[in-house]
Amino acid sequence: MPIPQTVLHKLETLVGKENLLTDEASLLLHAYDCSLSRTRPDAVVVIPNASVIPSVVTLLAAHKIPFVPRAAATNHAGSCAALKGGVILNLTRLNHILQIDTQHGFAWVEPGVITAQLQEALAPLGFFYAPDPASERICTIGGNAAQNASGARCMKYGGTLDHLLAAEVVLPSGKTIFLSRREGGPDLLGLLCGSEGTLGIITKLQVKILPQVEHIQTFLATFPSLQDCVQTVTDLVSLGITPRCVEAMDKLTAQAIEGFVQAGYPTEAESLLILELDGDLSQIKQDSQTLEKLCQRRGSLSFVTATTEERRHKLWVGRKAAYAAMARLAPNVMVGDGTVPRSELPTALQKVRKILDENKVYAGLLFHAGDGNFHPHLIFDERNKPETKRLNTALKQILQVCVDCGGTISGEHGIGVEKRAVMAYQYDKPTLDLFTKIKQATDPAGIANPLKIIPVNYGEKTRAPLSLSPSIEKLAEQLRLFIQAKTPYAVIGKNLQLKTTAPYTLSTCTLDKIIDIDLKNYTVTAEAGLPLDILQSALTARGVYNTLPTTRDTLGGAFSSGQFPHFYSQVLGIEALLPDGSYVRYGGKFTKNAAGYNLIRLFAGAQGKFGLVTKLTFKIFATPQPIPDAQPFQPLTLNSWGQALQQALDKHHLLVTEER
Amino acid sequence: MNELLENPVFEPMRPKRHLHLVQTSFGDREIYDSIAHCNRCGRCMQVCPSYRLTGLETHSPRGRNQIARFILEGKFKITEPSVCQSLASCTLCGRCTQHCAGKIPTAEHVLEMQRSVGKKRLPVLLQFLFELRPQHPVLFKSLVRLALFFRPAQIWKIMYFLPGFSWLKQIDQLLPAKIFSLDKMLKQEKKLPDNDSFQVIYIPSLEAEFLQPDIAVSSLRLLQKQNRCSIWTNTPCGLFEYVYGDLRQSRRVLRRLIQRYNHVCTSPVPLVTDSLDVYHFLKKAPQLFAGKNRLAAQAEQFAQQVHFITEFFPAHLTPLKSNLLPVQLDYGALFSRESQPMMAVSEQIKTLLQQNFVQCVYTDFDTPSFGYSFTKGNQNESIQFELVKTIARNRAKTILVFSGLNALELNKTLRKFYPAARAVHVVHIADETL
Repeated sequence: MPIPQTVLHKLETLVGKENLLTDEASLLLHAYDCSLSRTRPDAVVVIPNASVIPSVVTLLAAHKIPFVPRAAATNHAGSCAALKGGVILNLTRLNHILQIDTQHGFAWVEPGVITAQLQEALAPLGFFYAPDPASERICTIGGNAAQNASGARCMKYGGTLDHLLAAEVVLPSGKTIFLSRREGGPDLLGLLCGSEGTLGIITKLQVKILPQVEHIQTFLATFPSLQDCVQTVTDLVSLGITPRCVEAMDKLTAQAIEGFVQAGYPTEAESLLILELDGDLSQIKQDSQTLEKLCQRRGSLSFVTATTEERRHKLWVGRKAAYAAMARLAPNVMVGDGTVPRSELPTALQKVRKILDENKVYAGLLFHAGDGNFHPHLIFDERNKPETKRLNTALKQILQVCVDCGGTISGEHGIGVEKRAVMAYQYDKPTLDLFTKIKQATDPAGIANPLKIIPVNYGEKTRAPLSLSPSIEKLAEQLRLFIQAKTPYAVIGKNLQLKTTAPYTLSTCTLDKIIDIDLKNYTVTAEAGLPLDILQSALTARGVYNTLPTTRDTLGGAFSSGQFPHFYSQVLGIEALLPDGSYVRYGGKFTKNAAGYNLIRLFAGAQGKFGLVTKLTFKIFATPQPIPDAQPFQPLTLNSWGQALQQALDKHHLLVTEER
Repeated sequence: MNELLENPVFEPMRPKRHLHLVQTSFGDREIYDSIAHCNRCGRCMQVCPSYRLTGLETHSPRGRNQIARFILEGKFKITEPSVCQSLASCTLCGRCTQHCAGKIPTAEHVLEMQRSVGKKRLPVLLQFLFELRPQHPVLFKSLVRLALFFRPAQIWKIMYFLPGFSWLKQIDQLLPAKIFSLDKMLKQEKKLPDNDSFQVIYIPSLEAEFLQPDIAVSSLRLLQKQNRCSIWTNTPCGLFEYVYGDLRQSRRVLRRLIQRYNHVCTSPVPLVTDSLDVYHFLKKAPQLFAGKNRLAAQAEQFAQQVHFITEFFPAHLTPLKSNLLPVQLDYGALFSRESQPMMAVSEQIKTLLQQNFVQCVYTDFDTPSFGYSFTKGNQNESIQFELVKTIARNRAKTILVFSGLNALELNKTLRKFYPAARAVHVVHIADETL
């Protein structure tokens, strides 16, 4: 739909004539990103400074003109394609580092700041920004936040989501809100992270920065099988050692890299592991000895320590050249992205290799062995239609494998339009419905990066819904009665903090089981009503630990009360009963998930305002961890966005958390 | 019409105006194939000077490759103003190729599109002067000498205001106050070049011959330390035509040079140049004659003998005086920033100067090459200004450059914004004339 001339004139007034591009070349050159998607927008607005964004968005909202915010457009999922036309908001000029505060460990940046640019600014100050996407030299921090990007260091330090502290956001209505982790309540900043510009535009970000580590040591080990390679990492984690980076690749990839940059990788072994430890020297020495023994136990064919900085650099040159090594072999490279629980990685990779062979697609397999995230680098020529079709088929089958193995269709690249249809493999209808509600509540006109993430007309094609346990089924039944009778009710755990006197409650007290303690993936799945002291006893009996205190509070309470914000990043999966009676599930035993809106963060600290959390899957540790003090309980007041979300989820306003 | 020379892409009716194949690090490719290798990953974006200045996709290497592709796929015309702007903004520096996973030669794609546009990009009289050189080298030399003779008499300043002569002001600002004659300087040298029995041939670049003869003298001194050297003065190589003019003319000039070389040298003799721009171009000789069997073979042999002056540096260089330190290397050169001589000399100087060598980072700017200031004055100044900011931040005193033209361009900006630093040709570091 062409943009009316009046709107174009107003845009021109707002941003300046030179920043409104409507010529054919500019439009076609804003039709793509690093994926295969191409859709021509109707206009491009180069944002000269952040202050104009609210006015521009308000204008577009008033005329219901779709917009797509983008910066470097380097993502692999087609998130930057303007599927409904409209306006591309090019944020590349918002590239200023506004403040670096080493005393309090944060930096304020604009969304167009290149990730490596921030690293370069921090390095002389003795600090670093932990998320390190492979494309950090070209991608922007705003883009990282929009996609929840992560990188090799994610296993130890977490992804972008874990390093966002606050943000200034322009909602699709044009209203500016300020989101901060320090304010408590539902982690809406976490919900926004990874939303691919469909919920709003980040105009300013506060990110966490960390002091540089004193020493880093890098190791290269080769194994006769992928199984041994991955198992070594699991062994290492089970001893409480968390490496700085764990990168691995198969034989084919190692051969391609050696043929290109001669990084000194052995090419005979079936798999190759690059592992990095950081910290103080004595600890590294101790851990490296352990690592070597573990590798030997798993039958490693070679174990090399990078004794010089040059050797270390060379090992990483090889890893970073993987894309280029494949790119020289064919016109196009498609970098796939999927994550499975670490224990499932060898099985998944075997299946992936089989799929690639069956579809006659040539690809190298690289994976972040620590977090089960793998990236097949598939090479092809997009001008060759049958080949491209085979490639797309293979990619879909690979993503189905991820789901079958209990994983996710995207670990760090996002969904965009390329994986939109595949979302139905991973999520059941109620969960996709919840994504839709979140989108509609935030962007009723559907103008912010429309038609992304959520599949179109998913109907019955979705994953089968979960069969509920008797205790959850009973709660669901109770909820249905409340809805039927339009009876207001409150969600509670043991009611130790909230202390509601509402006459009708929906309590998690009956949900007190530990479903699974998984010592391969170091996760626990437990019901929300489980008292923390019982949880701790069970974990101690198995020789594992978590970071919650030993109290009478419930697990769900610890997650929802807002008293333990550090715990949010340890939660990997969630199941919840929504106010409309539907049951949703999100995440699992995998550490990275960039598929869909982050429901964990929606429910985290929300004090039951969006529904009742029934189950949680979270990380556990092989060694005792420091347990942060609980923050004082404060009854929650939702901001305008939170209120809109609550209204969308609870249409009849039955869910109360305070006395009426 | 030679079928192999047919170019089915930009101008099917005028195939000789275009390259048949482009050379890449991964082998020769047809133009469409080469363009199709762009995966749109964006690795080229943050190193492209024009993109970094504007933030516009149209001014990025990724954008230019996509433009080329859209044109070939019939999605829009090459003559659209925005396309022309996109092409004109490319400095042909090759930084994009350096950082591209597929080593896509975007600069070559840009030139191919420029050839289809067919517009003269330099001021008309300057273009005429350069076009004159291969046809009438003596006349060209006489005109240049005449102009330089009258320069001190301030006659140029009157001509600034004449229609078509405004570029003279730009040249006047670029040039040093006093310019010596190469012929006179050579006569003063004790060891004159040996044009009968020689082991190496030296072709001074245009700027080294007419504008900065000290570069030519230093180069000769360096070469004569180890070899008997012949100098081929006023020898065009076809680079100017390749970048600004007609590919057919460029082929003609280069063919003449190859023929002269083959005629003079019965056995392989190194051919040395002092400009990395010229070096990169001469190394491309096989690309120009791809498809013409006999000429292609000759061009291949010729290109193998082409060397840059730094390849004749002694193994151990003399340390620089402290007032010249720290030293920064300016990697500005046409087409490539990772050619073998550039990398080798960079390592050599780094080893020599240790902590006094300023290592440039990934996003640092360098000098746009080969007359870019004449085609895009404003943008050139912005790029140079960004470079000067880095120089000032590093407190570098000496900036080593790989061509005389870069030294002229950079010194002009340094004089204006940061006179504490000076750009000098890299050959001077070995000649101990700094």
